[in-house]
Amino acid sequence: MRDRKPLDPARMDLVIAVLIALVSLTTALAAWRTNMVGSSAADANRRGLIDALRKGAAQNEIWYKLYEEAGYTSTFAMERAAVDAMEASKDESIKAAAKNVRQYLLPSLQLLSEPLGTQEKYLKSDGTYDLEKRSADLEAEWPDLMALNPEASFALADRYASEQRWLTIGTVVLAISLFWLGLAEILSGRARSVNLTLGIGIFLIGLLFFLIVEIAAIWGRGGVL
Amino acid sequence: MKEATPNTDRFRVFILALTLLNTIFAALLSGLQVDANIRSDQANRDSQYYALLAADEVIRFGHQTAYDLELVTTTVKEAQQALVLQLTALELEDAGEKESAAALAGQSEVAQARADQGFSLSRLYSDPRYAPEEPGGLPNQQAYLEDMGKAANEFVAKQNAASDAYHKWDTKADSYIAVLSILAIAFFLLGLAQSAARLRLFFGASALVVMLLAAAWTGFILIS
Repeated sequence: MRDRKPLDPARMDLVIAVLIALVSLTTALAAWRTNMVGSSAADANRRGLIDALRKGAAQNEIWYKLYEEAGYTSTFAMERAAVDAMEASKDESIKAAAKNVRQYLLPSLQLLSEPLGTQEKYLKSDGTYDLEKRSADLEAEWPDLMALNPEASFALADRYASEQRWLTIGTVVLAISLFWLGLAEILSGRARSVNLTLGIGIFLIGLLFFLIVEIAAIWGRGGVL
Repeated sequence: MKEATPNTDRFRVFILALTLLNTIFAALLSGLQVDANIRSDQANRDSQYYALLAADEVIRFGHQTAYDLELVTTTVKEAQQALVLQLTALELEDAGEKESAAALAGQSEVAQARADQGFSLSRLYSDPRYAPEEPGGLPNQQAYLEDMGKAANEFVAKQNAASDAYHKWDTKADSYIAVLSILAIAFFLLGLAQSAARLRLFFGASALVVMLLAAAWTGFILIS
C-alpha cells in the first residue's frame, strides 16, 4: 500500500487559480444568460403594453365611427318617419314639402348613415339597428390590430420572469463557490482541502441547477431561447 | 499547549458552518430579492395596462353616452315641440282660425313622428332598466350613467390595486438589497475569522450577530 503524498502547494496554487478562472467565466456566462432572460421578460412586457396601446387606439377609432354612424342613422330614421307623417298629412303644403324632403334631404341623410342605416343586415326586427353587429364588422376591417393580444405577451413575460428567478439563484450559488475557492487559494493544509472541496461541490451543484432550469424553461417555451 | 489546537479547530469548524449558513442565506435572500423585483415589475406593468384599459373604456363610454344622450335630447325636444304645436293648434281652433290650426296640427304630427322614432331607437327609452316608469316620464339617467361607468371604475380599482402591489414589492426588493449588503459584511467578517487564528472567535461572533440582525430584518420584510 502506497502512502498518499500531499500535493505540492505551489502546484495546488496553480490548480486552484485555474479553477477560479473557470468558475469566474462560468459565473459571468450565467449572469449574462440570467440578464438576457430578464431582458426578454422586459421586452415581452414592453411589446404587450405597445400592443395594448395600438389595439386600444384602433378600438377607440371603431367606437368613434360606430357612434358617428349611429348618430347619422338615427337622424335619417327620424326624418324618414317625419316624411312618412308629412305625406299622410291632410295639409297640402306639408304634403308638397314632403315630396321635396324625400327627393332632396333624405338621400343625403341616407348617404351619411351608410352602411348602418342602409344595409338590411343591421336592421333588427323591432326597427332598431344592430350596433353590436356593426361593431364586429368594423373590427373585422382591421384584423391585424384586433388580433393583437397583449395578455399573451404578458404571459410570455411571466414565463421568462419565472425562469429568471431560478437562474438568479443558480448564478448566486456559482458566485458563492468562488468565495470558497478564494479561501482555498489563501489557506493551506486541511483548511485548504475542505474549502476546495466545498468550492468545487457548490460550483457543480450550481452548474447542474442552472442547466436543469435552462433546459426545463426552454422546453416549456417550445424550444425558444 | 496541546488543548489549544482542538479549540482552534473547533472554532474553525464553527466558522466554516457559519460561512456555509451565510452562503445559503445569501442565496435564498437573492432569490427573494429577484422574486420581489419581478413581482414589482409585473405589478407595475399591470398598473399601466389597467390604466390604458380604463382610459379606453372612458373613451368608449364617452362616445356611447354622447350618442345616447343626444338622441334623448333630440327626441324629448321633438316630443315637446309636438305637444306645444298641438296645444297651439287647439287654441287657434277655439279662436276660429281653423286653417292655421290644421297647419299646426299637421306640423305637430310630423314632430311627433320624429319623436316616436327617436323613442324606439333610444336605449334609455327602450331598455327596461332605464325606461320611464310612466308615460311621459323621463328615463333613469342616473342608473344609465352608473352602468356605463361600471367597467371603467372596475379597471380603475384594479389599477389602484396593482399600483399598491407595485409599491409594496418595490419596497421589499429595496429592503432585500440592504439585507444582502449586510450579509456581504458577514462574509467579510467570516473571511477574516478563517485567516486570523487569534481573533477567530471575535470575528465569528461578530459575523453571527450581523447574520442574526439580517435574519430578523428578513423576517420583518417577509411578514410586512
